[in-house]
This record gives sequence, structure tokens and C-alpha cells, in this order.
Amino acid sequence: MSAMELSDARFESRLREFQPRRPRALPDARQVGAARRRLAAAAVVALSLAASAWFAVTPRPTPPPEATAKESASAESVSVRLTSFSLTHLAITSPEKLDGALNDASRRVLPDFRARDSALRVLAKE
Amino acid sequence: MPPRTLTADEVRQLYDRHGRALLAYACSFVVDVAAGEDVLHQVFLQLLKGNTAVPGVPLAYLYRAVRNRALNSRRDGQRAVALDGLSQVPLFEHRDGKKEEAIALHAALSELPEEQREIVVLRIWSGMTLEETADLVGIPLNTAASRYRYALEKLRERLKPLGEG
Repeated sequence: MSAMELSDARFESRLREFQPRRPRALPDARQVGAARRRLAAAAVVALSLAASAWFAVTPRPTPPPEATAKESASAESVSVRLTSFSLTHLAITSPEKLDGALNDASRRVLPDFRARDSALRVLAKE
Repeated sequence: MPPRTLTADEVRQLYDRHGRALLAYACSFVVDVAAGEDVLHQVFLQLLKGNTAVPGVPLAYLYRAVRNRALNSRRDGQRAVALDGLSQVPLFEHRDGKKEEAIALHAALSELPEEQREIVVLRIWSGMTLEETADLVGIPLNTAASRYRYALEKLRERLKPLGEG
């Protein structure tokens, strides 16, 4: 063994006096999976609670009860009358009534310009 | 040897026996000890899940897996910057408790070029022959030998103030 090799061997031996530290303990794979599932479940619950709280706290404009009832009744009647089936049926069985039905429906859907307090009348007065 | 899935006991035994050397090897590529531990845990947890068939000798597979994972982790930018507190954790312990020398060794190793550091870590703390290191890294034996020699010279130089060499 040459002097250099001897020196290398001695230096290697000095280096081996040190050893790498022990890595932190390996977590249990099952625990990791369970922890992830618990985390996901907790996130879902937290999200639901946050959404509920938001809905509960956020103020929403409430239309007057009369308007609500009128709107819903109107929308219901229009939806009943303006189904494509009913219009087709009307057009086949009694075409003379079709125009009337459409006019009636349009009065419910479109703004009523003949009402006493319609926007057009108010604007015209101004 | 056909690929096979390791049992949880086998995986844990490998971790206990070779965890230190594998951690040193992982730290050849990543920025600090905590990042090296992360790499190690990713590799071993994958094995613990039981859906990885290990081809050939498990230990050789582990070294390749740690190397690939560490390089991927660095490429993906995970822990690209050393965290101040964690980067101070020394990788080495001296058998007589010489903490300053352990820190100096860690620092000296960190200053080596990566390709030299990798070889010296495998040779000294994993106990591999130069042929085995060349095979693992995928370089000719002569290249491994010269990298090792350069690394030893630099380490000897840097550790001189502490009485090494």
C-alpha cells in the first residue's frame, strides 16, 4: 500500500467516525391515509358550516308578499298557458282562439302600458 | 430475481438498517436534512402502501428510488431554498459527540460538486465499492474513481483546520 493510499485509508476511517443522523420515524401508511380522509371530511364539514353561516348572516331583499304572490301566480299561469303543447293543441283544434291566447299571455308577460301608474304614463306626465 | 412486493415488516427493517445512509444519500441532492427526510419518507411510504413491486435487490432499488425522487423533488422546486432553522440541523453525528466537527463535515460536503459528493457519500457511509457506485450512478468506473479522489482531496483540505488528514 502506497503512502497516498495509506493516507486515504486513514482519512476514510476518520470520516467513518461520523455517521449520518437517524431520520425521523416513518409514519404508518394507514395512519397517513386515515389522516387524509379525516382532513377531507373536516374540510367538507367546515365548508358546509361556512356556507350555512353565510346564508344565515347575509341579508337578502324580501319583496312584498303581494308582489310575490302576484308574480308567482302570473308566472304559473303563463307557464301553464304558454307551453308548446298547449299552444300547438290550440292551433290545431281552434286556431281562432290562438291569437287571443297569445295576446292574453303577452299582457301578462310584457309591461302593461294601459295601467294607471304604468311607467309610460308617469314619464308622459313629466 | 423477479419483482416482488415487500411486506411492511421488511420495509421497516430496511428503513431501520439503511435509513441513515439513505438520508445522507438523499441529502447529496436536496437543500437540507428535512428535505432529505421528506424524500426518504415518500419512497418508503410508497413501499408501505404495498402496490410497488421491487425489482432485484431491494437495497439497490431503494438507492435508485431515493436518487430519482430527490432529483425530481429538486427539479419541481420543492424546498429550493433552505429554511433557516432546519438548515442548521447537522446531517452527521460524531461517535464521540464532536458537534462542531460534525457541522464542519456537513459544510465541507455541501461545498463539493454534487457529482463528487454523491460518490463520496455512497463510498464512505453506504459502504459501496467504486464499482457499485459507478453502476448506481451510471458512469464508468474510472470516472467514479476520479470523482472520489477529487472529493477526498477537497474534504481533506477543508477539514484540515479541525485536524483531519
